[in-house]
Amino acid sequence: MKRRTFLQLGGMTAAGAALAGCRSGNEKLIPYLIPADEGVTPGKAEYYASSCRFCPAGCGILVRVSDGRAKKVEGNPAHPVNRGKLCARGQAILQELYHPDRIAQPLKRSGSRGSGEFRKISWDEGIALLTEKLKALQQEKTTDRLALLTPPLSGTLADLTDRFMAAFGSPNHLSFELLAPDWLRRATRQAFGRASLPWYDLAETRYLLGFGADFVEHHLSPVQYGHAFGRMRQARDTVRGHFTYVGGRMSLTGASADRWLPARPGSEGTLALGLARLILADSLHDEQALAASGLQREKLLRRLAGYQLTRVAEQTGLPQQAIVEVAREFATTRPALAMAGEAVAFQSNGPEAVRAVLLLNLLAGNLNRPGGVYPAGGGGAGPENSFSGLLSLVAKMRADRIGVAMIQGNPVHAIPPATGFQEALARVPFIVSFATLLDDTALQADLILPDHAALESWGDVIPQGSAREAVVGLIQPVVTPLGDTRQIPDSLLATAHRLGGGMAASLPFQSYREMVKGAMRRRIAPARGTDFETAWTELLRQGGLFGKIGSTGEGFRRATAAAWPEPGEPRFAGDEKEYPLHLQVFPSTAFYDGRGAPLPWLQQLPDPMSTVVWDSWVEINPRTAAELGISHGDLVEVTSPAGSLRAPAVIYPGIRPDMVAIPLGQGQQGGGRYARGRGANPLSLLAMIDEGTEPRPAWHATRVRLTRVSEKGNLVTAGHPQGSYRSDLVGI
Amino acid sequence: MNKWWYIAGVAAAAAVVAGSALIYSLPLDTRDRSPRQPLAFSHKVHAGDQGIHCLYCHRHAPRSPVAGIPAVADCRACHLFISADRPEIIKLMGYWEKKEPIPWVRVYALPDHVYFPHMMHIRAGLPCSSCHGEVATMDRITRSVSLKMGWCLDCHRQHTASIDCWTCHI
Amino acid sequence: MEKMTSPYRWGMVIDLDRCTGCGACVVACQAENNVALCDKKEISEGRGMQWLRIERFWAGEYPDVRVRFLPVLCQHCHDAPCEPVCPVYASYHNPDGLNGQVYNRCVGTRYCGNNCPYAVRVFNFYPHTWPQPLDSQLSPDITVRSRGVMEKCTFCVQRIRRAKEEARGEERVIRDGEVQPACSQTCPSEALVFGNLADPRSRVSRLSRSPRRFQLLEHLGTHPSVYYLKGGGREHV
Repeated sequence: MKRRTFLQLGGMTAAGAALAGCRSGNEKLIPYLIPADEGVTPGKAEYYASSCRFCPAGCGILVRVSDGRAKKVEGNPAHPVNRGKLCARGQAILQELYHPDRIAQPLKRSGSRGSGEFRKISWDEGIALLTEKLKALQQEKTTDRLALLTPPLSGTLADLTDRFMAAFGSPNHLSFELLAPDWLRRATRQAFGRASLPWYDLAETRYLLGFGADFVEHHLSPVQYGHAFGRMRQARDTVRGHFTYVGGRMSLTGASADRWLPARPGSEGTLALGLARLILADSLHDEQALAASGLQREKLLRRLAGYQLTRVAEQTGLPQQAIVEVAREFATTRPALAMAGEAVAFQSNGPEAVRAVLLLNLLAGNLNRPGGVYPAGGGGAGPENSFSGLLSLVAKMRADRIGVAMIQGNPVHAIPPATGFQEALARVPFIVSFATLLDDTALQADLILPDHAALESWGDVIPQGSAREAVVGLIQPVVTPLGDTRQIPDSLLATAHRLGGGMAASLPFQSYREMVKGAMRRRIAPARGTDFETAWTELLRQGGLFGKIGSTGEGFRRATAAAWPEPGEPRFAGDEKEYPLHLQVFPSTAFYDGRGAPLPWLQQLPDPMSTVVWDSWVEINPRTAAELGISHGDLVEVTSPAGSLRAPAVIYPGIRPDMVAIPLGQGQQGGGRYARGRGANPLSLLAMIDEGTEPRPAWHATRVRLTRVSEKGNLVTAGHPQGSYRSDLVGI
Repeated sequence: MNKWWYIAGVAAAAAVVAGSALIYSLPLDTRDRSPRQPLAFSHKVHAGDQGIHCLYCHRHAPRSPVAGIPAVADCRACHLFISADRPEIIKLMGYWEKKEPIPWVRVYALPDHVYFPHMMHIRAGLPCSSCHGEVATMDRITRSVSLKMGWCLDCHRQHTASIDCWTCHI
Repeated sequence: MEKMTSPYRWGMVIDLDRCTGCGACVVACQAENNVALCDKKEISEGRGMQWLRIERFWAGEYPDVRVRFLPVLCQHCHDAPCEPVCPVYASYHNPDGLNGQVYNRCVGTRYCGNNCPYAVRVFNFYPHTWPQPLDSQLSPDITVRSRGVMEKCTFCVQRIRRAKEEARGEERVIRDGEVQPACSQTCPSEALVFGNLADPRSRVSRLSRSPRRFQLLEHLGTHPSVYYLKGGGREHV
């Protein structure tokens, strides 16, 4: 044919082909095989009640589920602890469920410990392997070579682990968490005669004197106290509660205070007793309360003779005027409330300082009164000195007396290496981790039996120190489990059944769900005559069993056998000349003790005080920074007697010139793509205090020195680097 | 030489204008309005001759944004006994045996940026046929409406329903 | 075009005396509205995608320092500077008093973001993804925005719409407190209160008449729907 014809034909064919391709196909419309469950309408979401497990507060949640996927977490309005509100971490638990790096089935270590090389195995193999190790211990009659390490547990899980360990014949169950409030339980028992956590009626108080009690970020029950704080401020007509914060570092909680007293670290107890003396000297105390507690003013004043104003002012570094004003305000504003927190407790004189603060409540006459302090519901019994338990377990591991360690949580990252924990753990021949992500602890494990995420789990939780009422929160799965994972208690049950004999007999439950249901049946059996199944469904729908106030028994009263608190001089690790600065490590709103670091929403949440994202940082007073030649964003090296780390510097006006602060949580080697290799872990800096009498978790008693490394801190902040220094622009 | 460049330029501009006009006016609706379905389900037989109401199968329409199509088990519930020997019914049971949902071809589809809630329209008292046509007369579903935004707006204006952008586009 | 009327005029009151800066509202907003995950690099370029930010101000010098927190979100201005400048009418004012952003109209000129004096509009400079299975968390009730589109706080309009649907079904108006955006629902101290300003008895209306009230950048005449209540008296050490 002619060229022209060829071109014409070719062009038309090409155009025709192109146009034919333009036709877009219709989508497919796929029906269900069987209809959705009754009550489930496709296209509309349902809400399931459960409880949050991200911190011990145990808030109630409602999870919005659409087409079998969890979309949003809200607070449960019916729950007495949080009343429909929820904190930043609670909002982020969806990302724990849907984390891209979740372990999807059991793993067995194939490379060296820490290499991250694992082989996928079946559950059968995994449970068989664990059973084999435990059987060996049984056969050698060395069942005390089993150790179980968990955070503090409550409810049915505590019961299960107790039975497991008792039946197996091992005393080595350590319930330890860096931020566990055992110190508060102990101090409360010593001061007020009841082993219970206190519940502070913040909402009704008119004067809050907080000694390092950071309730906005983490202390006891952040949502509950956050809610109470809002009410303290603005819920009452013409009454606005006043807040004075004592602490060398202005924490996020301290930022909401009306007055900040930057007391020298370790001097808080002295300040409390100094205030007590001033109050008694001017007879501003509650006389009835004092009499009722069997104390006499003159005797007390003699006891407190060493705490006169000049000495206290000198020790704390605070102006005398301020101390006098605060004493007067606290004593004359009724009801007043004093809280002691971690910043005080983790000093070398922590336990005594905490009791000194609790004493102020006695003088203010607020025990068991609105606006004061009550025993919290929830039973109260719990560990009082898990730190010494930790040290004794470390000693055992070091002495090769532990053959199998089963671990829930991430202690390899969240326990200061100065305790010797990581080193001692490395000597244990067989380590089992229940982690959901390949965190630092899982990387050291030989066998991983991955846990369900909280939103896939059954359980119950008894909030500690969260409410006056007795509350048992229920946890139920809101989605079908994503991977081939199992709840820790179910793994333990399976192991017990395989071991047979006494183990199987002590845990005759088909599943953990059955055990939880049985426990609830026992709890409500006396009250109800109705059908349990209906009651159970109703409890699940509600989110738990919410009791009444007054079911906690006796209130607080002064324990007559209590020894008088003598805080004494604080001691620090590190020579003052070589290490001139005090180090405070603090749990931030986002990371808590590190559990929040794997979640991207929390990494990208700007820290409220420094606005830093995706990093660690060192907070330095502006004057100190200027003296050391450090500018905002510079890379600095922080050295303590125990180690050193590097992190970018943040110029922070709200901290004493002789203090620096580093947030907890980063510096993980594992933990998924968002946490891995990011920032630094300040726990590596903490040194142990050589305290003759008794070991204590003095996490704030380490001294450090600072040197500038370079300007390449690579710090990223969401806000203006130093924040706006002129708030009058915005008129607030 | 310049003359030819000039003519080429005008021609190009004219082509662009013509093309734009064409794109604006053509339906550009290249979906099949009456696609073949994997099973020869006849709405005429079910909704027309047997008189089954729309909502009997498309159950969720009064309560949900999606109307829903019956699950395979719903079809099976009747057809275990009714016309069980017909070839199409045997094909239907085949899907059930293989635990495979029937891959129906979608006839009425709106883009992802549109929110269409069935329950609001049913509450407003609209008969299903106002958008879906006389389904009871169709052996094979055929779409006769354009489903373009202008078509939706006409009806909304007529019935004084909301024409706020955010009602449908959030 | 006929005028659309509505019994609602949505507004919010933010009580700065209650706000503790905890950041729960920020995470709740991200979860509810399919807000993108941004890494360190994006945020360092100022291209973070938060709809709600908490500004932190330092005032004074050690030891007399004070901190102020200011949650800033779209003010839903009645005379919004972002509305008249959009060439395709993607930014508009809806009958409920909300400033609306229609994603499928937006062509990405970013003129609206430029004009906003509160810097609350964020632009999708990057194509954002959610590594599986994080995308299972995405809400089906709200668009997942693509690159090149402007977005901002909507007062959780998907919740407002849902509440309207339910209210219509029961033939009533939305009750006070029935609809809460994610931020105000989660705020532990109840610093954020949302409601109908057109109803003088609603909680938000009563709070908006407080003597402590002020608005951001009032002198610009944007007439925001968000009122702030000044934090109470602070003293020095």
